[in-house]
Amino acid sequence: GKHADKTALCTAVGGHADSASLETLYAASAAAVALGCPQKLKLGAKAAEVVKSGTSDGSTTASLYFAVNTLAATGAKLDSKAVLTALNSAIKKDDSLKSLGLAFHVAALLSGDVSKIYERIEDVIVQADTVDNKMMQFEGGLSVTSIVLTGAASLAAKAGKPLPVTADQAVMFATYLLSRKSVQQAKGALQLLEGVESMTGKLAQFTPVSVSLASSLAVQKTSPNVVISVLDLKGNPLAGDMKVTLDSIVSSPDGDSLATGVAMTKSDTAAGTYKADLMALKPAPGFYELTVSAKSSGGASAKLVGNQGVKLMVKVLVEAKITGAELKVIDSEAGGNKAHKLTYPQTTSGLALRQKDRLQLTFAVENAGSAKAEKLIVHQAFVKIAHVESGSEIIYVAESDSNDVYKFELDLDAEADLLKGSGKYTLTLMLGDPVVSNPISWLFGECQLDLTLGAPAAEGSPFQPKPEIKHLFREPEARPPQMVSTVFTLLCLSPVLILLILWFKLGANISNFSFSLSAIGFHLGLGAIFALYVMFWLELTMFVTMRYLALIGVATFICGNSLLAGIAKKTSK
Amino acid sequence: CLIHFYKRKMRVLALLFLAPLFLGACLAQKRVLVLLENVAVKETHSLYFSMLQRNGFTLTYKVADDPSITLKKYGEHIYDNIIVFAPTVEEFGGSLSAEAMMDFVDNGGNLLVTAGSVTGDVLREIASESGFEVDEDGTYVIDHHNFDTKDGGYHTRVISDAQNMVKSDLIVGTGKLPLLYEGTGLLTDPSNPLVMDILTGSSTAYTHNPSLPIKEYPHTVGKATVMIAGLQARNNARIVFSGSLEFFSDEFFQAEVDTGNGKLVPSGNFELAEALSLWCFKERGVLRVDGIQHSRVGEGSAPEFYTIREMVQFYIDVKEKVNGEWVPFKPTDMQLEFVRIDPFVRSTMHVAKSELIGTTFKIPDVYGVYQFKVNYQRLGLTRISTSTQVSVRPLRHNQYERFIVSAYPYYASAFSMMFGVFVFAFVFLYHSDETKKKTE
Repeated sequence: GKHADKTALCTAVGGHADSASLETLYAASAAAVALGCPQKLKLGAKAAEVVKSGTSDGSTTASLYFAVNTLAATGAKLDSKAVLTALNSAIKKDDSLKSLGLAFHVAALLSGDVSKIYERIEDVIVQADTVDNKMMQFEGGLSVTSIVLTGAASLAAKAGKPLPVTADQAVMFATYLLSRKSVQQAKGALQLLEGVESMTGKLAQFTPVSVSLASSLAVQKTSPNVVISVLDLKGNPLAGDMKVTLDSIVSSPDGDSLATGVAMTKSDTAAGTYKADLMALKPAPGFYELTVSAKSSGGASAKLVGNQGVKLMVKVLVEAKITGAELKVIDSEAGGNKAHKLTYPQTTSGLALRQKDRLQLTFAVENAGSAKAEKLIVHQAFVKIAHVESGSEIIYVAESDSNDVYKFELDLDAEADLLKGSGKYTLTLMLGDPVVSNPISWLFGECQLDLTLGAPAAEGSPFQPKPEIKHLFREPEARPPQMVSTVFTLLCLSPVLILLILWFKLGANISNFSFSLSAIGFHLGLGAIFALYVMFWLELTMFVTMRYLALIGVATFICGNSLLAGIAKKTSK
Repeated sequence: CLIHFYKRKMRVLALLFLAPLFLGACLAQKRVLVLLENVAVKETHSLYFSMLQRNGFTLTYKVADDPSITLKKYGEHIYDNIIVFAPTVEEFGGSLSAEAMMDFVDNGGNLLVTAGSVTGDVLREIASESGFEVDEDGTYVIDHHNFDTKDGGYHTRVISDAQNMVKSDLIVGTGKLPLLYEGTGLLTDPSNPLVMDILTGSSTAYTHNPSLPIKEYPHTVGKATVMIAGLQARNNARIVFSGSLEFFSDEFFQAEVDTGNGKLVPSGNFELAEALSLWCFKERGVLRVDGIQHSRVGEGSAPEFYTIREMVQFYIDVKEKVNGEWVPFKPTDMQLEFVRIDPFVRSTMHVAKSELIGTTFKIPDVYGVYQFKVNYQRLGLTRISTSTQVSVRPLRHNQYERFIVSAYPYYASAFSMMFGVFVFAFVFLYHSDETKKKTE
């Protein structure tokens, strides 16, 4: 159970009793006190040394802060005079905001005359930055602001003197602290809570009051009450009875006063809330500025700040209804027109429109809640024509004339190039206004539009893949059929055949052939040359062929020469 | 032996010197300069900044008119990304100006800028250089049909459905929650191919000064009411422009959207802000080409030149940055173009070996100097544009078709002639006219 957790935590904390780091000792001792551990933390010898050196002259304000707090939390004796001297010299060395804030904390724990350090509070407050005229903070954000504020508050309480902070400054510091509600880390959350506590606790010099709207901004017949919550920074109702009045209710843009001095009664929605019936004052629809004051009927009102003249904004809503809606389709060529009466919320479908038509829409907006026909002007009165298939839409503004009747004209011929071609279209009326409680989006017409213009060609977006291209190769030239080639091949071979046949007929012979070296060489060489030509045709390059040809050619020439010489010798015999 | 020793030492030294360069290169992408309107913004937007830090970015905070702001040191930019959370600033401090910002973008830096109902001139200048226009001072995006009931009364805190976001998971993430927005509207030019409307209003939204009646046509109406616009420049630098600073605030991140019909839904602002920031600062949707290989089919390495009508294979290695790591990117519609002034072949690449995508095709029969071009541009991804030049030669004299049937007659006549000469040599040399003598 809880006790077991506590003892476990206490043991864990006690384990750091002999740490060499001042910050750890401070954290451990303060945790022991906060947890309510049965035994106060006992410092080890090393730790005691560290603490002693932390309180000696020459240490920084941070060390002094940790050391003094450790001594206080462990119930040890504190040499206030020595610490004070050390503190003064530390401030002289480092007088940054954070250092001074820590110094205030230290001084609040000392006995004796701390007025010198108290005087520094005023210097520090002057260095605060104003943001947006609404918030005040110190450079360094939440941590520095919290340290300075809590330190100054505890020092002022210790010295028995007031904080040199005005009521307005207190309100601005409080606004800053509340703006940091979304702080994420545990350390920041602790600083925020400590800061808030310094402004709400019993010792707080000021109690900033938060006066805010608890009900919705909009007030209407169904929720006629304005509910205001008056709470302190922590969200708790203030002690004692409060008298809350609406000092004035003024119409926002004009400045006309609706009522003054309206008293608010306690509301039972939550503690600290007060209500007043705004609708009972019969306000016209619009924005109103309320000025609220919350006075305490008890004696603590001197401490309250930020509770007078608080300005809040509310708006009074009105319910709207559409009357007299009529759609005229005018044929600009033939000159005739056809009027369709439209009733909200029905859709008139089946309209067939052509490009030469003109559309005219008239309607009025009236207050649904009032008996007489009170016309309203709304901020948004748009007519939307949408192409059902592609989803594209064009929006036009309907203008009101001097009688507060809205008129809208659409010349289809002029707008034809903006529309996406023929097809089914829907016509919608959109009405809205900050003070209208029921914004209207009324699909009042469905029509079939017939445009002579075709839809614009869809452009290729750079994000789409482009069409594939396959290269068209050149067709090879037509070749004659194989049969033709074969026939001609045979024809080309025929001369050789004819040669051989005729030679045979003529009685050609090679009877003078004799096997001599030169004859064999010559004929072989000649055959080799032709064989070389065949090889050249099949595979070889010119260069290789030339080389071989040179060799064989020379050989064949020599053989041929000697052969011819031999034959010549024979015939001359 | 000594040489080996020195070699090893040099290698170690080289590694030691190069290591910080690599480390620097990894960290180098994530330096962000944050320009704030005032110091309070750092705390009212703490959730956004802590999200950036969780994602590894190092933030440097400066108030927008701080005179000590510099973008360059020794001629190099010292930040990779700039966030401007200062809608009303009229002039930046230090050496910063709209021109310096655009120079930063030209060098590849990314911008995330927020405007507001009142926007300073320097931000308007940056917007117009980026292709958007910010609406006039005092205007808000108004939507009477989709507003948060916690607004200031004029229906200026509008709710936009997740459907109104640009259709790209890389840019906006996958959230489906409604988005809360309070600020001015942006005008974008639909004919600008680099600009995208990241978040628009619904059909019922429009921008106008809420306290003035509508006398002329509002600058943006319906779905053209752009709330967050984005630009991806031709050098792949990204700019995101939001019309609302509150969109990124802790209050909006933690808000519950009250659409008026009673049900409270958490807002999707945080998810969108995170996705948008990661996209803008080049952590998502970033592609890079690691290598290109091309060769004849069947070969391993690129030849000196190609010949017409050859089968060629082309592979490209594309990597995408996912969660800080480069992983293979496998698109199904990346196309290769084989271009000689005009594309001759355009082929879609498919996944080939392990991490590569590629295609095979036949080189056209027109010779010349060609380029293998890959131009890949998709919404939300950086542009890929590579070009490799190769030459395609015509057929050599010995590469034509041979032994064609139609040529057989010529072969026959040539070879029969050779045969004839060979035989004729015999007959001519050794013929004896004995029968002639007999008749005589």
